Amino acid sequence: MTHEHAPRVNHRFDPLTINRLGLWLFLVSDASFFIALLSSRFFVVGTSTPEEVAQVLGLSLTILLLLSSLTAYRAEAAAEHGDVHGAKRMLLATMAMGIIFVFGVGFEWHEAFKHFPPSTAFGTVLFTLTGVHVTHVLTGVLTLGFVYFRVRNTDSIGDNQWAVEGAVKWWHFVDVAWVFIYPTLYLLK
Amino acid sequence: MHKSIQETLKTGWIVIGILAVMTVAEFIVAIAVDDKAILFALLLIAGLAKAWLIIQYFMHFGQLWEHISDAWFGMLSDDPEADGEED
Amino acid sequence: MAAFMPLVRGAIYAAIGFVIGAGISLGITNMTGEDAQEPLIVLGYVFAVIGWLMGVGMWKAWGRNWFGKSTDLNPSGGWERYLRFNIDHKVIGIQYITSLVVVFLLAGILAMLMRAELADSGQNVFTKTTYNTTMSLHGIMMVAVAVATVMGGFSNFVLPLMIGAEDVAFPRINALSFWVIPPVVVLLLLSPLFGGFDTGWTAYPPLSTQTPVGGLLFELAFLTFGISSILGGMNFIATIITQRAPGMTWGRLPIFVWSVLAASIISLTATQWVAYGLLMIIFERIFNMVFFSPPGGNALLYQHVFWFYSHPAVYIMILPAFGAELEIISHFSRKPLFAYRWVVRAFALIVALSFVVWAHHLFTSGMGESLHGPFMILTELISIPTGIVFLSALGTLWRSKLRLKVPLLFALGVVFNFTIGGLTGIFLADVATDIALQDTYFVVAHFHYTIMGGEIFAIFAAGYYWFPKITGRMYNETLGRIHFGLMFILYNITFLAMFIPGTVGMNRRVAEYPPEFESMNLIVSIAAFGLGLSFLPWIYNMLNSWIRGKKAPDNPWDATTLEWQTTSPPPLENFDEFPVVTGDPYGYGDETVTHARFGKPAHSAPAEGD
Ligand code: HEM
Ligand SMILES: [Cu+2]
Repeated sequence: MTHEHAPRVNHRFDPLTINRLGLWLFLVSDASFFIALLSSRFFVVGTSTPEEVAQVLGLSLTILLLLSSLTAYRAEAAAEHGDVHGAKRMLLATMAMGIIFVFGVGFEWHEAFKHFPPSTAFGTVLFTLTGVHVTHVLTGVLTLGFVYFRVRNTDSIGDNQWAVEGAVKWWHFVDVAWVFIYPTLYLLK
Repeated sequence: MHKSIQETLKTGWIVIGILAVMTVAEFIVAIAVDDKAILFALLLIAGLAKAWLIIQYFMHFGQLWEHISDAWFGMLSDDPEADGEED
Repeated sequence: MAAFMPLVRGAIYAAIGFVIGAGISLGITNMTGEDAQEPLIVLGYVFAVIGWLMGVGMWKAWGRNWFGKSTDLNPSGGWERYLRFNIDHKVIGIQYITSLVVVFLLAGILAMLMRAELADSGQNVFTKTTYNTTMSLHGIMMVAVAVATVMGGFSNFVLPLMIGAEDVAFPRINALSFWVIPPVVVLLLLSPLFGGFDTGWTAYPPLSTQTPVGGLLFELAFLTFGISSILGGMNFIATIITQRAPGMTWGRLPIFVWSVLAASIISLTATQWVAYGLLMIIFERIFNMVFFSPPGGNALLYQHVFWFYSHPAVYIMILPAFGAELEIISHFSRKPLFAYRWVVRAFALIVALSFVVWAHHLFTSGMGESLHGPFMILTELISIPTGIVFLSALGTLWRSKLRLKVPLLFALGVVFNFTIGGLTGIFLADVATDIALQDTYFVVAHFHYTIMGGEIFAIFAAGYYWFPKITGRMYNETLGRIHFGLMFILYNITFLAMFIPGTVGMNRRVAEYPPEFESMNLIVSIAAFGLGLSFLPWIYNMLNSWIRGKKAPDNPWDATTLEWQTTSPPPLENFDEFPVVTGDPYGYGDETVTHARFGKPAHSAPAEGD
């Protein structure tokens, strides 16, 4: 996190704030990508949703992802209060839910292939939206994994505070994206 | 500025509770409402509300602004001495 | 030799990465029985880029950090620091500028080849496909030059200096955004060997989903380039917000900084749209998805998404060009910038409007008629803020004692050329005339007036202006004037003449055309060859002056802004004494205004993210 230059003049912004700002800007950018993604749904299939969409699976995946946001939140809170072990537990729980989510999407794809393969209009939308999202989930799991790896043998958070916070923010962002993808794919008529 | 861990955790539970209820509500609304446009509007509103809850309470957007705003407005003043001393 | 090690290592790692990615892809396609070729290229390329980045030094400077190990940033060193992952913004600026100059010259040679083909109506140099591949390559390479030379190159070098910072907010991300550029160039240069792509830089489907593999390479290149712009935009916004020297209030930011901020906002948000457009094309190629083809798909989807990026993107090109132009005009006319605050407002308005005019590229596409009126009016509204920028330039020049040095000459060239570019834009924004003009050489002439006449002239203005700061040497003024004179005149002959075949209906993107257009095209071609030659004095001047030029003083232009208040070239930390900003950046003619004073740092807390 440090940079071998002499200390700078500017003293108004601590590194944490700068990192936060950078991440938020990146999130704004990535959000534009998701907006583009969502808009293509309406271009390609309008608002209609085929009957065969796996409603129960969709709802369960949504709840699962929301729950993983809670554990991520608790990981951050624990880290902030110096509770490294709590943070580690919660990081693991979040990653586990993330991995289950990925398998859930895999199952969803397996089913979807039968009804609407990628070469159909709805399949195009479904596979693209869930595919891009699940890629984000994987990067989230990977990032959380890096953070876990860094704190695995320590008793204090030390300079990993931002690492935890950044990974958790990224995870929440992936959740926000799903908050819009879920109704767009499953619930519209 | 620092809240106790209990308070923080309580906020977490409340927010996730609201999110879960809203998600189930979305599901039911989608079954009950037949008008495309009304359904779209309702889901959009619900989605925005859920996103706001996550952004505000889980991602602490306010925190960023708190840190940036001081210097941001400090930057508006043209007096070099006034600006820069606050920390 | 050791200096080239990072590049060699990058290439080797890239090759290993490619093999791994291709292997994974082969495994998958074997299982599913899909066509293996294009997935293999995509996945292989992704891994190759990662390998390349790690090889050139990202692993040492950054990657180790992810595993909690120590990193070696090593920002200093001799000339070999230009050949590896280096985090000093000045090094990165020079890396950008030199690489993009090479791209510019290559794309220029392609343009000469095209003009050779078009000198008469028949076919002589190319076949129809190779002509179109050449045209497409020329287009995308020049777009890359126009988007990244000022934003990635010059503003990387001078923006942190101008705001009194030591570096950008995220030096490592900054290095990353440069090091993804070489893969872009390699892909583009490889693409003709793989069948090329005859779609133009706009890559409209369905054609672009059916091109040979060369088209896929182009799409991957464009996507990678997008990543660079996004990260660059993010970095500049964070830098401008957090890294300013004490006292550098919003009202004291040099206008160039404002223009980069405005352009960064666009590249941060708009670029994602073209990324999505290209991704859809790749998905359609690889997974047979149907974004653009029946059933359900809609070919207009791509055009909307593409222009939702590419119209704002023309402002990523032109805003920093405006910034540099106004900066230079103020310093060389020795007057405060006229209507500074209005220019800032105009930039903000341009950013906002640039997002709501994209469909003026779709007037003849068959989109809903009801959209024609609104998009025509919104487009024409942009003339108001651009007019303000123009008036600010004129107001600053008004009754001033001009110092007619080469940078100012080029800046005045921008004012002149962009006027023609903007005025002809109105005919294209007007639905009634655009129906006739769309897809003709009129459009080609229009955007060359804005991009080449505006942006490229501004790049040259900036290049001469900051040359002493960047290299520590003076360029040769006489050669610079010769370059300007030749380039200005020949450029205007080439492109003014190009309007004429356009207005009588000569299509763009053709290798052959009806003989009646021959005489005008011959004039264009001859002038274009002259224009190509006019860069020779420039190349000689730059190389010779960089090596043998006389030593530049710290502030050869007596300019007020901060980058001139440090040594030429600046030290690693940019300033030996730290600046505290106390007044306007353009306090010419007012003894009471000093932009900054220098002293020892009062506080010393490092503040830099990553
Ligand atoms: C003052 C304002 C401008 C107006 C009103 C304007 C208007 C237009 C319109 C309506 C078109 C579509 C023409 C057609 O395809 O039929 C167009 C094309 C184009 N303009 Fe502009 N423009 C303006 C400024 C700029 C600037 C500043 C740039 C770049 C720096 C630019 C670059 C382009 C390019 C690249 C195209 C052609 C894209 C393609 O089809 O390949 N324009 N302009
Ligand atoms: Cu446009």
